Amino acid sequence: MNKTLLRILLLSLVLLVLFICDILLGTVTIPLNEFFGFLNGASFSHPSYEAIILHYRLPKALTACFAGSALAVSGLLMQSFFRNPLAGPYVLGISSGASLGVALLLLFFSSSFMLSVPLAASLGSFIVLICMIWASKKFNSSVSLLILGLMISYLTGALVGVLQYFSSSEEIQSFVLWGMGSFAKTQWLDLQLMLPVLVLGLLFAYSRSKALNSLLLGESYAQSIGVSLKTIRREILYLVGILVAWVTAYCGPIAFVGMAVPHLVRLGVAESDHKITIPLVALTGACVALVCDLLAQAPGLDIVLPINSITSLFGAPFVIYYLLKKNRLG
Amino acid sequence: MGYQGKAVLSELNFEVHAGELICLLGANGKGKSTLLKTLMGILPMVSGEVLLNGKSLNSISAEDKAKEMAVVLTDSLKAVNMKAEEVVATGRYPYFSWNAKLSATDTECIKSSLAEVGALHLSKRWMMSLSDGERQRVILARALAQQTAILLLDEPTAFLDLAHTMELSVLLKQLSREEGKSVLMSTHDWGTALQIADRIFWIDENSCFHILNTKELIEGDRLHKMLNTPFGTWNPSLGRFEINGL
Repeated sequence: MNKTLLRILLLSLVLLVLFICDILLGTVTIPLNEFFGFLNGASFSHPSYEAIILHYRLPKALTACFAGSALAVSGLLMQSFFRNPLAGPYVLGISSGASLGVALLLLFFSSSFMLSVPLAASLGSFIVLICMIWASKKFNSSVSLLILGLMISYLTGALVGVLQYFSSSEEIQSFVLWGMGSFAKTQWLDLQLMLPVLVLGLLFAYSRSKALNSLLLGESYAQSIGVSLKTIRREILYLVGILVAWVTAYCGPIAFVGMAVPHLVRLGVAESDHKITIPLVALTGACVALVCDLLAQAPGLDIVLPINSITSLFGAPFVIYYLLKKNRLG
Repeated sequence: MGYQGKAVLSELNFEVHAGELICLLGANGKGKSTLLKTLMGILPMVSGEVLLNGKSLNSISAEDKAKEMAVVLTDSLKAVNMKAEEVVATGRYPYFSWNAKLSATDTECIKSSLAEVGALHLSKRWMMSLSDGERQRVILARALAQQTAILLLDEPTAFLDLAHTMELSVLLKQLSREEGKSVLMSTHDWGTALQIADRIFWIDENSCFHILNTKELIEGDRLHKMLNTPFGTWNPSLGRFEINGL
């Protein structure tokens, strides 16, 4: 247990450093000493710094942290539930389902009310999740499930394409921008809605550690030690659906974080006890999201790259590496 | 009893007593696993009732059931990324709430279960690094850690060599004799079954269910008819099957 605590502390430290970097670096670089001065009550040499931090970078960094955690934990839950190392919200098309929901909303009903985007995203992700759970019973091979996920992504992509054809250029633009993914579009008001949901979801995931652990032995063993399969299946369905939908609604579809982060954690941590892995995966997810956000700001350049490109640039080779490794093992 | 409302086996009626070891035999696909899974409550019954200590299985909560019945399934758990002791620890799950750590009692029980199957030295090893025989012992220890009166095993000797099959047989016999557990195991191995079982449940080619007394079986010529192949005969005086023409 001490080793776990040490790891959590270490990761928290890394997270803190990354968090401060994310606040200070960008098109405008804020000096570190002025930032610490500001924390101690002094004011910045440049008045706009305070506004940049409070209204732009702080919400963005918080969004990145929680979105990263939520996606990574969703990925872990799906991998445990499907007993499939390649499962993840993006790879299995859950994010695409959310996208389709949002596309239908943005392109058909251009006036949206406050919670309409998360709700539309939730609906879309639930539908795909239910399909995947059904399909996981039909297919034994993890690769088949992966291919089905890809096909669902193509299908939703095609539907979105058809929708776009009939939409005005402004509607398309807002959807395309959303689809590139960004942690920077959330205001404090959005955070007030998003953070409680994500935090509750993560805590709930942690509270299900015992049932999740028993699922590692397979569904029959889990049932034989008193786990209700129906309940845990429903819980994971709702939990993953809501976490992914909420993140996707506010940040756009973020590729590969959910699938890759649990593996990143497994590189360093051998245990599969969810009471250990859930906190570690959540922290690592937050760190990875911050790193991607830092890279997206293309340090030294005056541009901001779409976050989805960055996560795909790292995520896709990771999946290829994993498949190659798995192939070698037989 | 069967899958998705379709009966695989019908007209079964039997009781299993404490301290009894029963072997379940029958050709592949005749419903051995289905019967075990129905008894575990994993598969719903098409019709009928299973009583556990006089109470209907359906009326007992999953957790209480888990304290009465432990299982060993055919899944070898080779790909499970856990240490042997962690696998055994899952046998303690019915006894603690979601966040409780393993108590001293739990740890003691995990140790003694591993020791009972002679696998204490394997406790820190990863499942994938174990041999089939070692893994099977760990899986049995997991069921023992559940401290139940009933043990259901689905082909526990399938992956084992002769020596390990014998070792497991002795162990199961001890568990039923000395600890009073009811042990019901499915197997293909008539030779072992005839030596260890108090009674034999046999599902024949026509999916008929028979309850057979082991002693009568060995002494009579019924086994010869059951075997029903020109390639072998049952020798009652030696108490074993013999291959013809050798």
